[in-house]
Amino acid sequence: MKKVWAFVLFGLVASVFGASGPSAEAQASYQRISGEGSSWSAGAIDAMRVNVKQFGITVDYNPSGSSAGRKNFLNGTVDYAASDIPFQFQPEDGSAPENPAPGSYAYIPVTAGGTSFIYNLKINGQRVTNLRLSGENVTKLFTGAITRWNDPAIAADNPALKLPDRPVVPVVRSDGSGSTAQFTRWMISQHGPLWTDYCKRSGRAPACGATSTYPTIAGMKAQAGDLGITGYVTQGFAEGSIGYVNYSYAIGSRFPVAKVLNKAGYYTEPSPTNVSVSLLKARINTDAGSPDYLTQILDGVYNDTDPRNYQLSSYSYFILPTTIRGQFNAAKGRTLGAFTYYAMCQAQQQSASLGYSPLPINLVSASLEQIRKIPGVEVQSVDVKNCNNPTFSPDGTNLLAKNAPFPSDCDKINVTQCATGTGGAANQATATSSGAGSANSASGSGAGAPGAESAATATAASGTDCDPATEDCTEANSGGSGNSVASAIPVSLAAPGGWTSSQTLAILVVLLLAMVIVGPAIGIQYFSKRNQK
Amino acid sequence: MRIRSHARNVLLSVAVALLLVALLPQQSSANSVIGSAGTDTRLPDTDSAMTVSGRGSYASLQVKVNQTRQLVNQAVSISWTGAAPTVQGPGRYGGNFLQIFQCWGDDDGSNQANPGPPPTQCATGAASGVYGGLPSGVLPGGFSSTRLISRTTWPNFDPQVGYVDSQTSNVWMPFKAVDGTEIGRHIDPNFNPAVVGGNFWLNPYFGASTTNEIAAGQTLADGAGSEVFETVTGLENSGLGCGQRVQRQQGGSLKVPKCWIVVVPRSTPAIENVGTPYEQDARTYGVFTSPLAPSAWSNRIAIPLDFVPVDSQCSISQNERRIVGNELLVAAMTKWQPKLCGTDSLPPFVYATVPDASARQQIVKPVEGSAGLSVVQRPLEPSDEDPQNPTVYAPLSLSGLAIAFNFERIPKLDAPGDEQLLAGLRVANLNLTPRLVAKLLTQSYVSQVQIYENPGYPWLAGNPNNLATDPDFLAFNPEFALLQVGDQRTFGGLQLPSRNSDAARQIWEWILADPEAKRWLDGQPDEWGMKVNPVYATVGAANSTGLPFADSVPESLPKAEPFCHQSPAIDSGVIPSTLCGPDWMPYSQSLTDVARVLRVAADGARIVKDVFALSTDQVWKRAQPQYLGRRSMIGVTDTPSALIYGLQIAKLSRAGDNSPSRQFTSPTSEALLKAVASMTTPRNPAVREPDPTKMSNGSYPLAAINYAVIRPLGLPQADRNDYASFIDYVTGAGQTPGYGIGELPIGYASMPQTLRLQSAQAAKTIREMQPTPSAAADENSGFDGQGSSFNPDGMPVQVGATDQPTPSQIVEPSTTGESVIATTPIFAMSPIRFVVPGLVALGVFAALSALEITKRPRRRQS
Repeated sequence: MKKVWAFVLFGLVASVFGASGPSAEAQASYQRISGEGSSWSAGAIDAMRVNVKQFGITVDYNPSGSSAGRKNFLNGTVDYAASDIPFQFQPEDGSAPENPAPGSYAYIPVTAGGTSFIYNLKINGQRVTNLRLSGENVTKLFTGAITRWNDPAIAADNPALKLPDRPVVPVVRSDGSGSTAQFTRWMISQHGPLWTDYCKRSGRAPACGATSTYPTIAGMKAQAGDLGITGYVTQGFAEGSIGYVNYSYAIGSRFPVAKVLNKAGYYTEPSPTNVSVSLLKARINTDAGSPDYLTQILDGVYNDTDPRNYQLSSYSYFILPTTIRGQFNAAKGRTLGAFTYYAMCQAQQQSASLGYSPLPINLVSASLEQIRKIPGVEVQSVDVKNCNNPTFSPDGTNLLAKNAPFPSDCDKINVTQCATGTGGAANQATATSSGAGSANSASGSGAGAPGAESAATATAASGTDCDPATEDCTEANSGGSGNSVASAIPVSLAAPGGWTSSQTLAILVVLLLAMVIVGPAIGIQYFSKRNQK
Repeated sequence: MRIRSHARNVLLSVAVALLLVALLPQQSSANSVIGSAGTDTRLPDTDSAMTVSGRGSYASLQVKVNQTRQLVNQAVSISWTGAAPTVQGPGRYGGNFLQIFQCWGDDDGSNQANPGPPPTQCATGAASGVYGGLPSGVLPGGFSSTRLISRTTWPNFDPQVGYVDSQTSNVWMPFKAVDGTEIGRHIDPNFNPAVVGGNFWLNPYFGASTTNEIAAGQTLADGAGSEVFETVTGLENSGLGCGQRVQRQQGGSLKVPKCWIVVVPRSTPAIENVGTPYEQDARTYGVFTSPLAPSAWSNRIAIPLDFVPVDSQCSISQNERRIVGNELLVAAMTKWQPKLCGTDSLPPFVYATVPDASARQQIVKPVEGSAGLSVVQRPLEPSDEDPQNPTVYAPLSLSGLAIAFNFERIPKLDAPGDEQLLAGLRVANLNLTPRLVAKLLTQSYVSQVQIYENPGYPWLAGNPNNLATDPDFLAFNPEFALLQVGDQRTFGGLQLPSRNSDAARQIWEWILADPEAKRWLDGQPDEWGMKVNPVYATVGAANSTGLPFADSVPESLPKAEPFCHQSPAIDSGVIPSTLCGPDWMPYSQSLTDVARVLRVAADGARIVKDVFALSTDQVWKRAQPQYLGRRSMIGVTDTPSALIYGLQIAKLSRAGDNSPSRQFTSPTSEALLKAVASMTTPRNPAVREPDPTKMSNGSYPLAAINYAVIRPLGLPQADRNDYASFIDYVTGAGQTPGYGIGELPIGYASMPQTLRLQSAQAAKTIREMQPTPSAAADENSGFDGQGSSFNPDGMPVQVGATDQPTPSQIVEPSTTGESVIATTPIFAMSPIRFVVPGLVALGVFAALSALEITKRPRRRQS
């Protein structure tokens, strides 16, 4: 019987799929192209290149770092590059200037994301997943100004955590990296004196500007690529380490990232929605004649006062050839054109699943114009409305940013921190349990174990505070009990993040209670009426 | 049909071949070890296998290609007999080796006996750029792996042949692409071998990292040799255009070009270097000339190939259906995609690789931009199931995780003469037990911890250096007692993917379920005194951190050893950065990337000191690829990737099979299917999971089923229909083995009928499911935890059936030990826990009584 059925099924499937033969005439084939560069954006680029294979397009990508990508683009050994920063005409770190021929290249943003701080911390054997850091403390951690995790400055960010007396091991990039350049630029902009001091101590002075190669001092660990940093920080022996990688790597390794304090007084993580909001404040070079056309100036992002802002949000770029040169020819330009059209339109849908943020409509539109400059490109008239990009809306506003949920109250500065996990550990909460002197008086919100339970009810009551993107749900101790606890014996909680079982449970309780109270009454009334008819 | 039977045949024939080798009668016990690890790594012959003979001084040479028709981008075997044995010096390939590459074009008429293409139309000469120069020993020396055929100053200079580069006086054999473009010389006048990926001979079509040329194939003492060759289509090398209608004929029409494998046998330097300045003292220079130079080319052997058309029928559509999931589906997905997107009624399907846990998360808590369908090995946690939005599971593929390797024999000096004859020959098989894999995964061999210095750990003192020196390994792989290891570093540990995955967890579960392996991980030395690296000890008391490793089964493959090496300052005063475990054995990006790393025998570890470095970040340079003939790579990948890259796959023993005569199993289709039959459904009746303790004899322990996970009610009907069609195709025609578009690639087994029927049913459910009116508490709901909540017949959940998770599941996470990552449930922490079940019970009671009350009037009526 089964066999017969399977045969029929098979036949059906075969007829559905086999019948539709090649309808269109064979198109010209695509010449294979290769690129190199940013490891920060590699996750997004890989998804793009794997999926264009079905259209007969073969694209290679080597995530060896932005510096290597730009260098080999100039050397002519790759057809395109990906870089988090533009060509360095006037490097601030004493390295040799990069001098692409004017008019020989064009930038298009390829994806957006957050440079996140992946860390490995435990309290009594339980992983900490809700660490918060002010920008100043981030800078101090990466410049040797804070060397132990129980530093009072870190404690001030984390009132509910009693962090261990353990050395801080900053893990930085050993290879030339655009994310290092972005990170150092941010430190210089926001906490300049700390950086300058560090620059001197590290022996890099006087070239203390933003740099792609992180100056290191004893006690630091340097690793190649985002993969290298992630691979190091996530090891058991690396407890106490903290590194900077794209958010997608934290997701891939199921590790938490630090929430960083923004100018609105909230600690946030670089969720796709937060990044979208933040980049509304990026100043894009819109001078089409500039050698830096479409590149970003991020000071507005650093200083944004939107509560959802994540300061280290940025775009990463493709560098496209606009002239025939080296091993790049028009046939390859045709492939690169098709690939980049795909990257700008269809591929953006995929971003958020991977931990990146899709590009907004203005940048997509400008990029579509840039793609026309590739020699050999088959110009397409893309109707961006059909790209299904979640940021697009009919009125041109960034829909993803517009609908981005606001942070929870417990993410606010000077309030006992949220217990929910972050990054790849979103479903692992960290207890903000009681201890210290105020332990028993902390129970303003109810039973002995504070935090999670009270949060459950609080959230159920207000109902709508869950952030579907960050999987943050409000776990705020409403008001009074906020600052009360410091933990002595933290306990790891099993609560999945976001809409946790606690919230579900709370609602369930309310519903059941309602059922208990009104259920019988309504039931009786209803049926007795019916029976009267 | 030829192709369909092929993939299955490959696996079966490999198994049969191995069995034959094992069963061959041996002379004596001493000799029985020689070659016992298997010497034949050829792919089995197909009915399009072809053998072509050499000419002149190579008349005795017979070259066979195992498949010459219906080719795609795949691996083929090239094997030969009747050649002179390769001689060493300088380097591994001093003389007598074969050079192999792919060409396009019609017969140029130069040889009646063996038609073939002209030398200008061959894709070779890029390999020498791979290593940023020409290190001796990795490749044959001189210009023998380039396109440089002469110089204007050489005696053999012929102005009629080749392209003369007046700037350098070099004479190149130009490359003529199928589109007519001719590349005369290396384009980059400022060639810089220091550029990673730098290429000695630059052209737009093939480069250092993409070329499929084999610069040197070794002939053994018996005159035979074999290599795995990657055939490329126009998609991979558009300069050749194989399988594509791209060759312009007179009159302008296009045709599919003829394609060829060309083998150029090379002789000794004394003969090959005639006409060059390197004729004198030829032995010190080695073979110095290009295979495309007229003297060498005159011996070329051409074998015609026939490719399957590869032009994509798909145009880039703007509507795509997105799928996220683990990596095990990728190899099949890339074959299914072009078929699916060429199907009129369907959109293109795009796949993004994320960890299984993230893929599940996107189903449980979809965010803006989440995909509608996820692909994972393990089901959602029961506590994540939602009665209002039921989850449907559909099995999509059956493959296996693989411990793959690329190991070439280096006989010890005192090994018997017959073993010496096998030098350079690839090992066909390894037998691995869970304990041996545990040893490799736990950085317990000396070569993993000894990073330029021995850390002096007491536990390390009695441990072997690497796998090949471990008596535990030798007991099951006796030939290794006769062998040295080319690189101990890469044979004492595994190349590993970095991401978290259900696959990693499955490997640990297999190990932890094995008594022998578990005892060892607990801290008990093995029979020979080898101890586990204490950071991995699974008993807290034995663990250097005080906490047991794998208390919850890891979903990653960590490198937990903390030792780091600090080198002293180099001459310039620069202090090198420390080298730790992850530097010594760096992670790869993915399972597929591991396979690539194993194949090229280069893991990119930055561990070679540059004593002239001027800054800290410049000190540690990448290790070079391992020398041909001396490779010793082993790592974790999946069966399709291993086979696509022409790797060998270790046989594994089952957890619990600790007898001396334990059985080792290859991931053949049969063994994968047997494993499926042994799988259980511990958490969801619709999802079979491997239970390492229940695997039957002959099952491959690391078989893996991949499941589609979807919540139809949360999706628009159009999406549901498309996803259902996807499942229908993939589990229908998509299960036909073969190399072609739309078929199931090598390395997967066709799923058994029961799984396919489950998927067909699931597809139907996905199309038709309707919301339930309400989620009234189910009568069976109690506090009995999981198990009662799913349809027990193994089919996907049915709406309105007994498939709703009970309140207790929401309260208490599963206590089966499967969900141990989460430790203490919130509500276990205080007396409030009793309030909840109480309320639930009260609620259920109230609901039931309400029902009961309302029935009364009716009863009265009747």
